[in-house]
Amino acid sequence: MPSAIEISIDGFTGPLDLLCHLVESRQMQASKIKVAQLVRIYGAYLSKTRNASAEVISEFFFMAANLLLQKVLSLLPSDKNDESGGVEGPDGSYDDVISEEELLARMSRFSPYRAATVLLLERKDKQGRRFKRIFLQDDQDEKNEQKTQIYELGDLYHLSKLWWSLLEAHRNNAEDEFEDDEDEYWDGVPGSLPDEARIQTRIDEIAEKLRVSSTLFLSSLIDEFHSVRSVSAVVVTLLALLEMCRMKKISVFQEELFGEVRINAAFGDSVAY
Amino acid sequence: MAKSELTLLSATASRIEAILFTATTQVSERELSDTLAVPLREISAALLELQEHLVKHAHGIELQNVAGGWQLATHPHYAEIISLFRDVSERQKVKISKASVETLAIIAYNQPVTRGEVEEIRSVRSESVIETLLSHGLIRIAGRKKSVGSPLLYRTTDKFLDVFGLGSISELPSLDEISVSGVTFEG
Repeated sequence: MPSAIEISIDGFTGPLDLLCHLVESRQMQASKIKVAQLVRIYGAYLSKTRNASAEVISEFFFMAANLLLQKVLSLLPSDKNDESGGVEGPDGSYDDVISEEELLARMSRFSPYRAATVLLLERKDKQGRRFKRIFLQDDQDEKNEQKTQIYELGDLYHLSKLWWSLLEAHRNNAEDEFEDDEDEYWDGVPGSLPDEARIQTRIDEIAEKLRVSSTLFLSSLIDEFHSVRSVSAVVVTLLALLEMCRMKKISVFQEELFGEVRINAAFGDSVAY
Repeated sequence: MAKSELTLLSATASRIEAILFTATTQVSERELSDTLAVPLREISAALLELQEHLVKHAHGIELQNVAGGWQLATHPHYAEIISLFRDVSERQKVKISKASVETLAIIAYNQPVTRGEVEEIRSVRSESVIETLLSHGLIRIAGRKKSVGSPLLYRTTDKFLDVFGLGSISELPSLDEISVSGVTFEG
């Protein structure tokens, strides 16, 4: 389990908690709390711990300031014209001013939860001394990884096995097809890639044609197979042209969309193989 | 203890012990009943038998009812020894601040409860504490309150019960039962 965020002040969780603690530990009556003394004690505490956030300190001072305000108000003669009996806040409202009665009410309301917190902490401490068989995340991750790997390998193995059998069957058929023109049996099924020997043979053939005529047209190269209707032969021709382009032996042009594709022997280069 | 004083567990209790030994989470009585094909009543009796047996014979483990299920856990008496054994205790240590426990107490006693209601009781902002509790799975969002702004409602989780060793939330004493003696908030 990741470690939790620890509260910055050991033993205190907020200004109200602190006031409760002081009231409890010093047997003080809340109405007689000396704010100056509180601030001094709290200041000493903070300097000792050196670990309080600005938020906690500001909340404490807000609470202390409210207490102080109430004490000041109680010392001053009340304005009979002021029906609210309070002092107008900076924003013209009285909302932020907590009366002593309200503060006491809050402390009373909070008190049982404070006791419940102590109870829960005791339970947690006791439960924390018990250890059980745990679910190790690291182990599980490793297990999952292994499990996934096995699945993937198994899946790939069977897929490969199926692929190999299909490829083998297709190769056997392709050889027959090349000789016997059985392309129609593979309509709609992607054919196997032609082997390099067939492509090299076709490259030699095209190079020979280019030696005779420096310009060829793709349609004429494909038309050579029109009579036999061999798809694989067309694929071999295209692959041969691409390979020749890659080797910069030919240049291929198409002057307009869907227009004739012109094949030129590369300038100043030999097409002899 | 002499061998003759040893008592043997019933077959059901022994089977339950074996299942709980392998379990990494609490096992409900229903699950035990389904697994062993034994009536719930017999399961409950066997669990009590096993619990008493472990206590009676001073075993290093004990049977606990936590978060609606049962689990085997080491006896608190051996906490120090276990802390010396590998990093078991570190792995299981749950660090929660007092502010978090205070917030948990408020949520536990008022659930489902909104953040505003928690803050009203604590008189301090509790956003970050609630976020921490959520991230640790000790509380969960339990819908929205049908009021202005539709604030989120929070509830404690089974993990909360687990961490605090509670079988259910009803095991907590009521707020009235919690003593606040010696503290006077009167003016």
